[in-house]
Amino acid sequence: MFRSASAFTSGRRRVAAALASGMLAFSLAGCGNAEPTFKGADITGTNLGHYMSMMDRSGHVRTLADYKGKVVAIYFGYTHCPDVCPTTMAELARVMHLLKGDAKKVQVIMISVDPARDTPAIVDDYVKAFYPTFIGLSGTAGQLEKTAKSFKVYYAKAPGTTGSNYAVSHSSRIYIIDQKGQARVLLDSTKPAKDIAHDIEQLL
Amino acid sequence: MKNLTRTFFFAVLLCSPAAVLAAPSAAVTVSDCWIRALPENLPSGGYFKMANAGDRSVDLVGVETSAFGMAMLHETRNKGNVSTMVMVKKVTVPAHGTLRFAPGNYHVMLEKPKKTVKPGMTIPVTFVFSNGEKPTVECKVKKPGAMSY
Repeated sequence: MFRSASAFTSGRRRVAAALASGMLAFSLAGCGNAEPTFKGADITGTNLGHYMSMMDRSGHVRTLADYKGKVVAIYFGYTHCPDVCPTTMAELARVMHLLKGDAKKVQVIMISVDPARDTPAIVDDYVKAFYPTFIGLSGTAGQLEKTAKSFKVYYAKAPGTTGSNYAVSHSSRIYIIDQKGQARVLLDSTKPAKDIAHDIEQLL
Repeated sequence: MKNLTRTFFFAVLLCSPAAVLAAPSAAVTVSDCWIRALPENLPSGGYFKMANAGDRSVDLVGVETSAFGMAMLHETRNKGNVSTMVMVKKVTVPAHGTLRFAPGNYHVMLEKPKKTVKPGMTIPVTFVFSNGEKPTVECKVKKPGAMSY
């Protein structure tokens, strides 16, 4: 009895040692194959976006919980942005085409960092010009502040721009949220469509 | 000899009408110009490729178009993860080199279109260079989702 317990214990120890060395190898390798590996940064467990609360075109307040069951890709931008925002939306439209049939399990959302000029309807019309299922959200300055803080997103009026013709500097990254509403991946918006599609596929 | 020269010129005229239209010493050429159509007459980006066949670098110092109220040279700069749009006074095309205005980088910011800009249209744009050359190029208007010419 004692002996077998000891054998059991030493067996457990061996397993634990094997596990530990396995984990060491895993961490030395940088990334293993067992867990989903992302092209972007793994932000699992950060709860980014947990306090998102923005308005859609019908006036409803939207949180991440509203999109459960879909993988969500969120980008912060604004409609008076002539280059980086339409480029990112074009890239995300390409992602949808790459995903083919799986595209219906994906929701792309652009949140405006320019609530003074962008109503929810303006942002929504804007993003739908890129892909019909994209959603645009905006809201009050307060809603944006709270939401941006929750995503750790930076935005500010660009220096040297004045009047109604100002530009907005902003974090240009894509947040991928899994089907349970948890933030999982953070990608630079300059990443090619195939990398973004790859990371979304890991969560489908 | 005179006849031969004349024949030669005639041949050039026949073969390359574009070369005749351009200034004989044209160093810079602009090609692959396109403009992204955006809804609601929002400011849009213009993209193109410049080639400089000359021995000296040439600066693009501006663009002119009657189709928009404003056209400015801009650059999207990424610092860390923050994107900022910066106005630039000139962009240098190196001697015997090319330079591309492309999404996410250099672009012409086109604001206040006189008429709604729609995919399929072409818009003439004049490029102003520091050496005095001012080629005019027809730019294709493409869908919002376009990424290249």
